[in-house]
Amino acid sequence: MSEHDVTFEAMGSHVRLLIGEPGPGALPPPAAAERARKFIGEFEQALSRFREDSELCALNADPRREVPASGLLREAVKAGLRAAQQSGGLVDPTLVGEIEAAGYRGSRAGAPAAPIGAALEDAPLRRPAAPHPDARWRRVRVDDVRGTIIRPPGIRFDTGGAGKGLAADFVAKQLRRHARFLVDCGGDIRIGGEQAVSWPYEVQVEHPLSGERAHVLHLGSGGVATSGINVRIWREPDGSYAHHLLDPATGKPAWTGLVGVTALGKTALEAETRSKAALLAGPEGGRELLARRGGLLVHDHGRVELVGPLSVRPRIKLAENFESTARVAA
Amino acid sequence: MAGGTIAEDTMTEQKVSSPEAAARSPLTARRHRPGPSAVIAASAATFAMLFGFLTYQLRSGHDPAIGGSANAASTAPSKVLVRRVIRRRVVTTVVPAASSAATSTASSSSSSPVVTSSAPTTAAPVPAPVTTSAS
Repeated sequence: MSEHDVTFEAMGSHVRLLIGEPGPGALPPPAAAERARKFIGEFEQALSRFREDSELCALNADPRREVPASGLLREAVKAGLRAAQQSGGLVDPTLVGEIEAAGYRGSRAGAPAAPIGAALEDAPLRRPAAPHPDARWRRVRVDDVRGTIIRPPGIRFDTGGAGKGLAADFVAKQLRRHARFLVDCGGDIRIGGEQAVSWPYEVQVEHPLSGERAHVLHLGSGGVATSGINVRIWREPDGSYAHHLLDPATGKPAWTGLVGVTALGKTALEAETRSKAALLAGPEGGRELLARRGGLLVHDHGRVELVGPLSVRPRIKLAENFESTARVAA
Repeated sequence: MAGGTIAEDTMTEQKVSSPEAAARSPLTARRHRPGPSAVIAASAATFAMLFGFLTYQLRSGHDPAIGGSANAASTAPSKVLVRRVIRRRVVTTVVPAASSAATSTASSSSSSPVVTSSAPTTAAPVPAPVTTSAS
């Protein structure tokens, strides 16, 4: 059985599609990949905070309280609100002003990351993040009947916290009739297809400090996502270090004792939300958030901690490339 | 001496010469009890003998628990099922994104080439490893 493998650049990162045999009514894999690629381009065009002509920027600049919005934008806003709701306000999509003040005004795709080791040494005292006291996201509503988004003018929305996971889930829906598929949007991954259950994908988790393989997952369905402060990190003019994951309570980059979190979920969006929330919550809160579906916490000093179902040791484990001949007397 | 046997005479002499012996009867005769060390030694010797016997029995293929001869060489050849477990892992390096690794060089993303490949149809299916990382 062959699998179509496509990789391209989008959303400031890489996107990879692995598409297996088509089922009844499904497009051939090359055509399905092209359709997905086109969709992701439209997704980025509509929802990028860094494109002035995007629908998202138009919404944020609109002085009206109730603004007409396309179905895609409404879905993205709903996804962001859901992420805020599920994370208790830790993953807050209304921190555009704060993140721009922190130095993340334009796309950092291609920009070299500041050395994470030096940043961790220079970082302030570690503490878990907390929700914004105003919880501005609670004042944003989506009306699907009228096709509008309602919010107090001046509250700006950012889909960055849920964008890649949402895109992966949308593409997964397009590929649902294929026997087996994997959608990787910048490390936020969704897996599906009937055959994937019995023939899971191997997903390697990259260690944020060393770049080496920290763990290997075998997934036949659902989503996995990784959040980390090691990629989008930069040095401010005053010499301090900043990154893109903000503490909503302070509006400043969060230094919680965790440098990276990988989370599993039913969907890529759920995994992305959970990974961000866990990183912002710090080691203790992170363990609680990952307890049910599992994940990895990578601490500042590099230690990898498996949480939830991933921490259960199998009773029998084969070594890699194990080859054996078992003889059984009938 | 009268016409009795030497034993009778001896017994008579004994009866006459030892008042304690005259007082003894089979019922009151003192039993000779072995000492503790003798009991321990006898028990150990008995155990060793039994253990050695059982060892010999098992080694010669006569397992009393199974019963009958358990000597496989004397039975008819049995079917042997051979199962080979082979696990192969193929690592495919994904073209890294410009922003995903600190050591990669920055590159312009204005025109993004599409890299496509299909796994060979004749080869056995191999899961393609993917990497999840912060981006």
